[in-house]
Amino acid sequence: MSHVSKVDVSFTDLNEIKEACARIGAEFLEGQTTHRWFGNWVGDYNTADAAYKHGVKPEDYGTCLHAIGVPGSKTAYEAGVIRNQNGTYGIIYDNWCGGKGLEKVIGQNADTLKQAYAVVVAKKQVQRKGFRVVEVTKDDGRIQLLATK
Amino acid sequence: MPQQISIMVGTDGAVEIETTGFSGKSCKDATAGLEKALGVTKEVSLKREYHQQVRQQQRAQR
Repeated sequence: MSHVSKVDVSFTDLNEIKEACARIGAEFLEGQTTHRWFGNWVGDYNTADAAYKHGVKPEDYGTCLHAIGVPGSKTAYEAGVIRNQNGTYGIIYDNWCGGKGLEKVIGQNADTLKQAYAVVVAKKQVQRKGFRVVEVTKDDGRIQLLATK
Repeated sequence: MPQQISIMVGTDGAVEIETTGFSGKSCKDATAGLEKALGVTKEVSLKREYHQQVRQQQRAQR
């Protein structure tokens, strides 16, 4: 039997978030409970992905469990790792001007981090099942893992 | 035929998993842990090989 499945990735494992950060050249700032951002909410960002529409109170903006930064930069904004209401981890950051350089590392909407996380998690899971894994990066940026046994 | 799992990770982190060379339900067993570790499975479709296998089984039973 063969099948195809599509999966929406969610962050559930902190160690694998750390590995994903290392993979894309971001710095995981363990235990840093604030992350650099504009500093105060001026109520100017209200689109569907605005954090306050996803259970994060504006007064909590800038606080987090851990932070993710751009190595060597003192001006780039940092991302915060927070706990979602459903128990998974969420990534929150100030996206003004691409997070002042943060998006160059973690991607817009943290997509580059999400991709790296999915690769790290998937690779470990199939290796645990005894598969050999070959990683191929496609011209369009997608990453394919081919697992065989 | 070797068992193969192709995992395509999009630039937005969305994942598509495709299995080939498995027999019976073993493909679902092989990917269940993977899907759980990654997140929420949106959609599962069985490939043509599966339907061919079912038809062959039905013919054999006649």
